[in-house]
Amino acid sequence: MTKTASGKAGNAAAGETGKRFNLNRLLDRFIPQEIQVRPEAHRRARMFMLSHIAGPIIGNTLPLYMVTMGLVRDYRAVVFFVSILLFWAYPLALKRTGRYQLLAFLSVQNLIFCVLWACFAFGGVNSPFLSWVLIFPLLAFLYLPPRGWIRNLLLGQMFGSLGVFLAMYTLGYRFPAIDIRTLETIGMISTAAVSVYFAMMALYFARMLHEQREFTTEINSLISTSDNLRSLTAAANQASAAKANFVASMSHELRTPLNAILGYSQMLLEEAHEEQDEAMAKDLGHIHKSGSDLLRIIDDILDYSRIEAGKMPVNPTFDSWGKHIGAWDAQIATYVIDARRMRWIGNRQDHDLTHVTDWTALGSTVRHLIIGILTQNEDGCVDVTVSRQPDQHALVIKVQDTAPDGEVRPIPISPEVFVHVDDATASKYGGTGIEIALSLKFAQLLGGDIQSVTLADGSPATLLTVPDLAVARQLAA
Amino acid sequence: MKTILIVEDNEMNRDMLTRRLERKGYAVVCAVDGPDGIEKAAQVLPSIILMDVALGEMDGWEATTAIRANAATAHIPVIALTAHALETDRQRSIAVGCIDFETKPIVLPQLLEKIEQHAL
Repeated sequence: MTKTASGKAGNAAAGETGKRFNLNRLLDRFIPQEIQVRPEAHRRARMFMLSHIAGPIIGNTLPLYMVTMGLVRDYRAVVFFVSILLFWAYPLALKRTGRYQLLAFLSVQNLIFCVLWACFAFGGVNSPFLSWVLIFPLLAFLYLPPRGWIRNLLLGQMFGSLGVFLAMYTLGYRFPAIDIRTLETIGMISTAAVSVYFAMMALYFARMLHEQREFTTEINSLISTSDNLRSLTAAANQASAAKANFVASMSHELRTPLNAILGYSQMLLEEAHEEQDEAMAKDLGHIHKSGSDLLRIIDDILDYSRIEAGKMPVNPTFDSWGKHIGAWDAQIATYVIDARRMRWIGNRQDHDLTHVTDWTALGSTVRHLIIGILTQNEDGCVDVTVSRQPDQHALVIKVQDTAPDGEVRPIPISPEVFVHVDDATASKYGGTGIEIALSLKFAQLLGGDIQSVTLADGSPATLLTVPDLAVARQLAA
Repeated sequence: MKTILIVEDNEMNRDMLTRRLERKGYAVVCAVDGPDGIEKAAQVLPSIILMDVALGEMDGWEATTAIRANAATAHIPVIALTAHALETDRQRSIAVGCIDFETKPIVLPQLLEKIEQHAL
């Protein structure tokens, strides 16, 4: 969060300048990541960097002018020049060591030396460089945290040094001789330079305050959005739970009369068979079949709703594929008129394939997929083959729909339920029911998926992939 | 002949289940709600009780708990019948002392198998 936030402030600045020169990006190049992730420290480090990159350019105009103009050409100017030039070493040292506090402390020491040396060497209390003394406390405030012993020590040292300097003057110490009149021009340049330096630091500080305000506004907006999202998620969860409860209640209300319809029709069907009234038995059979279909749809809607509401439990067990085929086959046979249109392709070895999954849910996945295809397609045959993925982590159940003329047809896989579409596919399949969408839901519940693919021989196929839940959990851990 | 007590508040379901079970050769006694079921269970001492779960004021689970609490009827096996197809219903039925659980609509061959398995 903090890292993102800090980056956001930088990005805001980047956005302002676009592809133009970006000062913050230049400053950040020397600031270690561990400092950039702390907004307050990052702000101070940027001030430190700006001061150390631009400061020597402004400051060195003074000794360079004096040497160029022949005012002073001895060790005093060299010490002054080198002590200013030394500030360029600090950004590199920070990038290399990351020791910000120590470097900030040393930098202020450097500054104190530099300014007091210039005052000492060029005019004492009359020195044109005396105004630079003002930046001591400014930098101590900008570089260092608002509290802490290092800052207190620095402030004490600054005023102490200044006190010593003034005491030397008061006690009549003789500063190196210099003709003050020769320093009039450099005095003006010095005042201008210190003003430029002050303005630069103040402007950058103001800009950072502005960015900070924008950043705070953005954070507040994000918090507000996050709160809204949380309440929307809670409302959605509530709605989902309400829908699941509604579907469960509806299921109960529908099952009660359906119980009577199925029970009476079954009873009358038995009587009709006993009395050998086949015409009546056929009609009663239709009533019973329609009631059974309705019951299956109710069960499917209930399962779909439970999975959507996250209320469908998954109970993985270790078992073999072959152990379940018989039961699934019988279940499919109760739902489709001609179950012979489905073939389990494979041998004994495939039946011995073992896997950790919720086998009841896997049965529902396979059953709904096959019933979905068989009920949508009026003829042809559905072939089901099982294998294990090369990495051994998943079972792959391949389903292919073959037309009577031998053509293998693509199977439309859609997450939509009860949608009828007017296109070539719909004329063949009559739209989508709930079976395939529910099969997809069950597959996803088991961490798997159903996908339409084209095999190496060019034939279309539908692959149901189900991961081994024990392996999946190990990988997740 | 085995006697089955059906505790069911829906008249049509009661009638239909009674007729289907009688056709299979069982003697059937009906109760229309929970208190009636508790009373009939003590009077008739049936071989098995088919208990609807949704019964109105006193539900089938409470009635089963009362039947289990009565020493005279505690031994009678109870099969819970419910229109809810929820695992939690099955778990609650077993928790209150039902020996088995069937969802509505009844699949008669399956129910008959359970009656034969559990009836006294």
